[in-house]
Amino acid sequence: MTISQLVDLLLTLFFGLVGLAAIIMVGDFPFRDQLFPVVASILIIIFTIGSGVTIIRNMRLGLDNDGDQESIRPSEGRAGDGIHGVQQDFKTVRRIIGLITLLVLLVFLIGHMIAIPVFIFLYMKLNREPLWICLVSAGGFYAFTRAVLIETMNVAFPVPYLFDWLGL
Amino acid sequence: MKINISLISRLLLIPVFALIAVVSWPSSSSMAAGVSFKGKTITIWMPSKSVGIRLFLEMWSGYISKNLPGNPKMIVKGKPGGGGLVGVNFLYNAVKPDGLAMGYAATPAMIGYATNARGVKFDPNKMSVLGIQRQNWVALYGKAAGIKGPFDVKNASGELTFAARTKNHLTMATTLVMDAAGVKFRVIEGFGPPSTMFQAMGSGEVKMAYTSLPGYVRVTDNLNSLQIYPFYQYGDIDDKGNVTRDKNFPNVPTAVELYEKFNPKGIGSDDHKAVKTAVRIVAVNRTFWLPPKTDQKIVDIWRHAVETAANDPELRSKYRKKFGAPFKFGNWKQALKTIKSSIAALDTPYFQPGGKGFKLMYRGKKKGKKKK
Amino acid sequence: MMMVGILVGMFVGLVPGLGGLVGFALLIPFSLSMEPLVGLAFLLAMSAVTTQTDTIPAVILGVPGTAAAMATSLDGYPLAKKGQAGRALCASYYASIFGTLVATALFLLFLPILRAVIFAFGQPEFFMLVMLGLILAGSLAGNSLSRGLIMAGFGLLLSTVTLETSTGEPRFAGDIIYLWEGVPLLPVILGIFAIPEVIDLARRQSSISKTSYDTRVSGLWWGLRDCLENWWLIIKASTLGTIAGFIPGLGGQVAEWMAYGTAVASDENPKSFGKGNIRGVIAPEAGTAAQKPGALIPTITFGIPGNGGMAILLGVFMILGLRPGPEMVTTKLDATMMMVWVIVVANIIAAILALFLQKWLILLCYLRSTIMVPLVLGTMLVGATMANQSFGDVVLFFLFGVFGYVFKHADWPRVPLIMGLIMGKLAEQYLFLSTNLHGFKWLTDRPIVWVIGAVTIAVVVVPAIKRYRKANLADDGQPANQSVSGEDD
Repeated sequence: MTISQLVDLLLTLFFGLVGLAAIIMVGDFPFRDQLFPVVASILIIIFTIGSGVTIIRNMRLGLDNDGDQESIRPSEGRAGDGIHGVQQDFKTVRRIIGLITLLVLLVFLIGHMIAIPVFIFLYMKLNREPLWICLVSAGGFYAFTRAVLIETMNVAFPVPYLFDWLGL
Repeated sequence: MKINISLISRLLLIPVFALIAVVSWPSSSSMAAGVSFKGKTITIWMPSKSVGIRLFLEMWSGYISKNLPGNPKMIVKGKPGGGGLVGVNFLYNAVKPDGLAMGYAATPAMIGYATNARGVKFDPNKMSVLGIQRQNWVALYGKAAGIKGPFDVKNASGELTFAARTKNHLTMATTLVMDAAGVKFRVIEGFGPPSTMFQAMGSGEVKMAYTSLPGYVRVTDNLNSLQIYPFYQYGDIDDKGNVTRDKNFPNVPTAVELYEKFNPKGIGSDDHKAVKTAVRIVAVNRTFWLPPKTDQKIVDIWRHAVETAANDPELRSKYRKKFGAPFKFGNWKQALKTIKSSIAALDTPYFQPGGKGFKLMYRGKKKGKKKK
Repeated sequence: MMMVGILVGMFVGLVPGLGGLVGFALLIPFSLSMEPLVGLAFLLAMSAVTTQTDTIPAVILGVPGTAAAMATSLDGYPLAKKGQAGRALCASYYASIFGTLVATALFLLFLPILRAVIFAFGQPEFFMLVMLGLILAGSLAGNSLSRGLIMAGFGLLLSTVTLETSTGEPRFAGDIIYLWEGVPLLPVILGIFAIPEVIDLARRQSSISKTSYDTRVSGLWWGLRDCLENWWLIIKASTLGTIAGFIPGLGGQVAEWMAYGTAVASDENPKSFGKGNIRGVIAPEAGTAAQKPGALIPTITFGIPGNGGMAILLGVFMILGLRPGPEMVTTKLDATMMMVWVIVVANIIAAILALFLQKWLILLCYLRSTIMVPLVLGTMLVGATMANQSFGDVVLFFLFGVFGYVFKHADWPRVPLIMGLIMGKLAEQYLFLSTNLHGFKWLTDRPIVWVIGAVTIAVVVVPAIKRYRKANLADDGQPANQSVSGEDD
């Protein structure tokens, strides 16, 4: 079994279970609220069964899930270097996802207006961009958000938790 | 050289962070004892995404500012979600009661409170109520209904289907009126905005629908061309609490009138009272308020400003021109009276789980679960 | 005033997360004090051009800032990676202009039968059309039909998260008030498309475009030539777009996918779609552009908005003093034509302005990833938060970003999921109303339902049969040509 087949199988299983769970969860609702989720779930389940059967059949025949003889997919133009590329530098991917998680946590803690410019500055600085680029990017982002979104459009970003805890 | 750049970079980091933090720190805004809003910015929170409401609030806020000491800058911000609950909960629980934020609660949120709905985290009795905006609604019939006018409804061809978004106080009143007339009637839930109902009436799929009175006034000619006419209005409430015809819509009977005409023996019955209650709920269209625990001095200033602004002849004329109907505003005393009477009317067995009104206003219940 | 409207429209279209609604919020207060016709031109111009500039992030970054640019990004982004962003953008501008012109001509042609068309459709027909759009997206935007349809189904299921149930009890939302008005589109669409692109950019540590920057390639003439060579495709796509616009409630997405479907179906090499086929840019852009004048007609003649944006415009029009009615296509035809021409002229002006602008915007494709990654991520995060201005938006953005990364690399198409999420609410409404009004007879008693149903089945079955035949031929020693298309990178 190739990695891509395993991922396909897991996703198929995941969606099938989501469909099943949805049918069970709306069981208590009246007809009106049940009708559409049940129709959508049945569609999901039918197609996941179809997809699952195809994956297992292809696994047995040693084919890729698209029915191609070669097991390398996706090709250029679809998902770039595909699952294999991701495997090759899993550490890098993990690091980037970690950074995005950090940004999200920072946003929760100190808000969009501080967290994002700080993230921009730090990311660029850590990647050895010249200081003026880091400053212009972070400052430009801040100025744009402040002037256009907050002052002109009256966008109300959520109050960060740190400010909330400090009673600000 | 490398070391130097790195050092300079690090040194520069400190003022950069400090500058960002200082500039973006939210401005502290506790009101001074001598109330003046000079140089302040007041936020009007709308718990909806409606462009029409934003437009109205933008228009009104200018006049409110004129009547607040210091003529502050007014901005309108949206906090939509949860059918209006998110915005109301937010203003009630998370906004400082310093007079720099005002908002409104729409009918569904207030009904939610009266019926102990899930997610309600506010108490209208503790809000610093500033006033209410009333609105009348109108039921319509199309050519497929096969009737010549409201009082001809007994001659309707076949079942009368009534397009609605959901079952609510408006459909409840219509159901009771149709029951009184002895007509075969069915509420068809699931429609979107009034325009979707008009399309279905135009294509003959449904025979009746409803819309707000200003909404109707704005498209009267178009609806006439589609052979869609007013059936009845829900009505106004006068100072004595009676349901009356809207002064601007005098030729169309009210729901209560129709009920009484079709079933004179039912006057004073629970059903009759329920039709009146529906009109009361309609009257609590939008309740304007400040967060609880706002200083009474600030509340009084706001109440005066809001009422004076609402009665400004220029605003009223502008409103009528833009929205096609008069701006119906009730001051805080009228607002409190209306809210309390509506909540009290809903707090009867008729509207509680198991009661007829409850069944007519709510479409069903989850199996195996009791509604709170 | 129209120019101001155009500039604002271009700006809100360009920045993911803003869009027409924000444009309205910005401009409405100003429009109040204007003469009605000036105010109309002002707002109409703004709303007309947002779909012109939303193509730019879709092509350059691979992130469709609005749902209307999803199909365009399928082929536009691969073209950008090949260093042909200028060509793709120019072709999209020309296609938009031609699309609106074709729609205007069709409007004049359809005028006498407009009323009959609009009221011939009931809830069952609307439901079938929505499903057709969805299945087109499911079958075209990926490498595997079953994966596309599973994703579409999942999108539909996501759209059923709501509080608006018969009982007032939340469905699939529990006590999370944030979800009571449903799963918002913006954080999902930005998360699912932007985060995977950001991760891959950071991983590759290279610019978006893999070719060296060529200043000579602005694409001005190349894009025009592409459009002129594909004039018949533009007419077909625009006609479908106009019809989708006429029919109330459908919106640009169905138009977009019908148009994209036509391009794929009529191409000699359907496999090239999703890998940078210029016809995959031209068709959806022409369709979406044509849908706007199309949607204007039912809005102003019957007060029945052709799509969500038109519903807002209708409210504003009425406040500005315009009353919808059949006289808008009889005695007041000049006012209606004025509005149609505002859309056409605004599109032309926006295209010219965008041509000047794109010279600089294309440079984004050549910026180092260390600069692009944090800026794109920050912009998208801010854009996502514009939905409800709540931390819930941030959480959804992140979650769907992670899902999006898995989907992208496992080659599970993301577009059908978004389409399901967009169309789900409408589909649920139409399905329930069809059943409520007509029982299950709507399946058997309505000829238009059969016709749309047959087209929908054909969309699924015909390519499968074609693939099967070609596979059989391949077994006999001839080359195989299996898949219809692939999703964007």
